[in-house]
Amino acid sequence: MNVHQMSTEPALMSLTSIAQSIAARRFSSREATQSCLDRIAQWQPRLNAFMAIEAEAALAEADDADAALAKGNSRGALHGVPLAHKDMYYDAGKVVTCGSRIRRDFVATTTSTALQRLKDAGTIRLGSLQMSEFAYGPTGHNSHYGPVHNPWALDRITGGSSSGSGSAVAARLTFAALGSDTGGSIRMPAHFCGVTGLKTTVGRISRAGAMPLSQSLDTVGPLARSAEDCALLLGLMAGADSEDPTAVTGPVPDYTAAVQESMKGLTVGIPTAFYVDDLDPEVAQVLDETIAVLKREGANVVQVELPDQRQLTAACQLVLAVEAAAFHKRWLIERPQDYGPQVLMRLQNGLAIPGVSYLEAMRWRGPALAAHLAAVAGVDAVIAPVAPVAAPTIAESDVGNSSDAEAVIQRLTRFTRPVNYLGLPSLSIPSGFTRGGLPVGMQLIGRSFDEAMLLRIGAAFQRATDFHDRVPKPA
Amino acid sequence: MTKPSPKEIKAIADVAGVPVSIEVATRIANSIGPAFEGFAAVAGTLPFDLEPATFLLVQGAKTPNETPKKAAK
Repeated sequence: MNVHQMSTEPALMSLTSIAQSIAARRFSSREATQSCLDRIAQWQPRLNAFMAIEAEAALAEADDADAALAKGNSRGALHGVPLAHKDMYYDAGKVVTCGSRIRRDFVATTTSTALQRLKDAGTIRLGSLQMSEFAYGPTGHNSHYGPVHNPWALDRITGGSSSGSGSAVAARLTFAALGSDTGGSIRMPAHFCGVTGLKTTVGRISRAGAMPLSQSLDTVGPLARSAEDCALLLGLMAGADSEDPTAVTGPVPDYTAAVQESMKGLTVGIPTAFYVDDLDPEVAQVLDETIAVLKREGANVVQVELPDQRQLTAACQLVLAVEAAAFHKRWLIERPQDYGPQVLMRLQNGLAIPGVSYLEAMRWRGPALAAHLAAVAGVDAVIAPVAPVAAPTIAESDVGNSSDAEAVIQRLTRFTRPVNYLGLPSLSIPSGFTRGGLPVGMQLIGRSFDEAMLLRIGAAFQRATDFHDRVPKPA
Repeated sequence: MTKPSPKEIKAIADVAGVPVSIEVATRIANSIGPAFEGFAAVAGTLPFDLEPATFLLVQGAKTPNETPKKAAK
């Protein structure tokens, strides 16, 4: 069902490799773009990963990029590289649906800082990618535009809310894609689709021009084929932004240098509870095998006793529900009929949480982070599953607004939400496959603003394994 | 911290300007109940001087990398 990445087909190359190949004029931007478009034509009817495909415009941009390079003019590190992103990043003059009916015809008048920085590095636009409505759903279902399908098994979910990003990167339709992570929305699709996803520290990347869901929890980050590719993208996007005062100032680390280092001598923590409880046996086996690789590559693996993660999950739910309801209140009053049933249900939840409860959850965030950091003292990163199971079927996880929908959502996201509440970075890396051929990802959880450490460990793991290089084939 | 009852949720939603039926209020009560229960041990225990901005102070502080803990089995 899968083949290793042993082809000279441009679309099968990594982001880093195709950028270097275009710069060295071994491939043209047009060849890279056409290769992606060919794969999109083949896969899109099966996956529903793209919201919009802009083939002609992309090829025209590619020709411009090739012409510029022929004259010796490179725009940057990603000159001529075609990309598509989650359809929530404002791109001036383009429709940005946010996966919703309400914004079906919304035309952005500004361009998000993250997207603009990638454009400034030379990327070109393939189109836009599907997502859960308003980024508020962990499965990849979308009642307006249909579910996105997992390229490893079309009847399985991709995870959400960056569903199109996970599916398209896995099927090699784009070299990488922006996602967003408020409760697990980068790491879940990365896990279920077998790609690498980086949830960044709150404040690491500007959120200006990115559709908001929760101002305290929202983060911008990439889904890509490797930790090395994530490092390249993060370095281009990170840093202060006058349009977003919550983006931290100060120098941006050299992430591409970090991924060249080994994990020898580093210490990785494995939680003694919560993240190792009630795992599907195959996920548990992948966790054990991942730990074995870490040890083989020279890491010191130790047990860590983390504070009560259930309290963090509960606090995350209180904060997210209230902030999402506040953003959406006007539409909840004026256009409730235009929401999908599950998103409407979840937004209504936020109406019922008293202000004092919300503020208590916000006030506890500092002490909770301090307690976590104390628990992981001496540890460079924590390793844990992203989810307790591999991808369930689209049918079984289509819970809509049923009475047990919130419980299903909480079960799927129980390993991702504590990280969001603490604002920490986390890197999801492909770590194995089930016997049925479904990808399984593990997350490396780091200290605030220490994405470099996660990328270093992730890249070293990927030099020792080939899970990230495996490519699904059309059924 | 006690989770709000459907009746209380209906009243809160009315005050918020987004009225919901008692059926929806009941569903909301069931959905958010676990969050209230999970946070109950923290609620009402926080010190007087604790501000939400403490999070940013902790986030920005350098954490020393201390001695590794015991090796995994």
